Amino acid sequence: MNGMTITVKQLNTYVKSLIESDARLLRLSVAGEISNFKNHYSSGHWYFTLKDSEAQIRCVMFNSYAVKVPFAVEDGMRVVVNGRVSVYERDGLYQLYVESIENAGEGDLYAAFNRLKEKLKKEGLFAAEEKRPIKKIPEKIAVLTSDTGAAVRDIFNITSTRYPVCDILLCPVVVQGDNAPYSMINMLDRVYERDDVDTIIIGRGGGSLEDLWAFNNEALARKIYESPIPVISAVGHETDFTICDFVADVRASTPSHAAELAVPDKEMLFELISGLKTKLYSGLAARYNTAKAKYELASSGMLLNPLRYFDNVTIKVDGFEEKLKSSINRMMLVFDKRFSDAAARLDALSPLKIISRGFAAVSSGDGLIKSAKELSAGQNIALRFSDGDADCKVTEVRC
Amino acid sequence: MSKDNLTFEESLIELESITKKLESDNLPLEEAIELFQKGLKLSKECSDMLKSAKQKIEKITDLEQTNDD
Repeated sequence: MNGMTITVKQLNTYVKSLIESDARLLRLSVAGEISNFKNHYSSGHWYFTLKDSEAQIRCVMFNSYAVKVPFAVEDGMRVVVNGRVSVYERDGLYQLYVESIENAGEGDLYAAFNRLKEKLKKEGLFAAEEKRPIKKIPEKIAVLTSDTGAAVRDIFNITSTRYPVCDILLCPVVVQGDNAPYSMINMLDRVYERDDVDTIIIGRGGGSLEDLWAFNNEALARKIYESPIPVISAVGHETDFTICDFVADVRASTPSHAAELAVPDKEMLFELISGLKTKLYSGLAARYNTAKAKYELASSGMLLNPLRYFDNVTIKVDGFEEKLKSSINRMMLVFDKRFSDAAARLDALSPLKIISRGFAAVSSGDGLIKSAKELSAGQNIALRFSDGDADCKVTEVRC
Repeated sequence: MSKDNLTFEESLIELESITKKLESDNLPLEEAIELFQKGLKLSKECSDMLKSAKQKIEKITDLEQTNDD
């Protein structure tokens, strides 16, 4: 064609033949986002532009193919289209002749998400052993979210109802758009410097995939992984999963759920306290009963003079006497030990304790003598000490 | 509030340990009574804290504002 003059039509036909001769262009799949979607009113053909962040291409989908698409197609939808490339000679336009559309939903963003997820998983950032437990009874929770969104209101409401003892450190951040990861990373750095925060909640309410995209940022994920403080992520709804969710210590399905995970329930704490109170009462009762039993044992005559207990025992079998004696000695040792244990626990009013401090009880055949006036010279009396008795005779009375 | 200014958690932990001690140890009665009274006081303090606490919200301001100080 060198030096030849040709018509426009000839040029376009030639380019078309070139393109159509490339087998790779005859059958291919292209991912992108649909825009300028038009459903031609009479022909039923679809016309739209497929674009990504850097380029775009015109697409046409003839009615015979379009009727087979099982979902509604609209602008902004992320799709993978299958078809061929050719040239519309009249307009000198090369375009995609689409034969089928798959709703990728997340499209190339989804692929990027999966790549990052796999990469961080391999590095061990999501490992179960890296997960730390959330403090059960926190004093302060840092909340990183937009201070104008619904999420922050939900978190305030739930934490203040469930456990108002816990304070909130509100950390306003940008949660969507290009600045969002930077904003959250900066704020995390500031929270990490503090020593009064027990738990971090980072998140936002529901939104489109693009709205939540900041939470799939690699640098943000790594910053969360570095956190010295346990982190609860709470991004979007139940069905939304982000990289931050995987790297956080705990993933909450919503901001409200995060608030529930972050603080204990006041009502349960009331129950716990009242249970402990009951145990205090029963514990004291048990200690009282033990002390009472010891006191009774200690103040029974048997312990004061254990041999008396055996006075009525007639030893009928020779040879057993020595054995019995040593048994009695052993028992006395045991009783002695129990006696001193018990006596040590008696309160200050215990007569045994007073006696053991160097006093003795004076009695005569008529009973205890409480006054010198009851005594007369020549009278026989008994002195009772903690460890035994003595019989005495009064030589003189002075009163 | 407790005169020692214990946090709710600290009070609760102490209450739990007192209860445990009172339940399991073979304590002299006087000591048991002392622990019981201390535990009762702690349980009241814990309940009071839960009842009267008002959530405090502190807001981290922008760096620019902090620099204005």
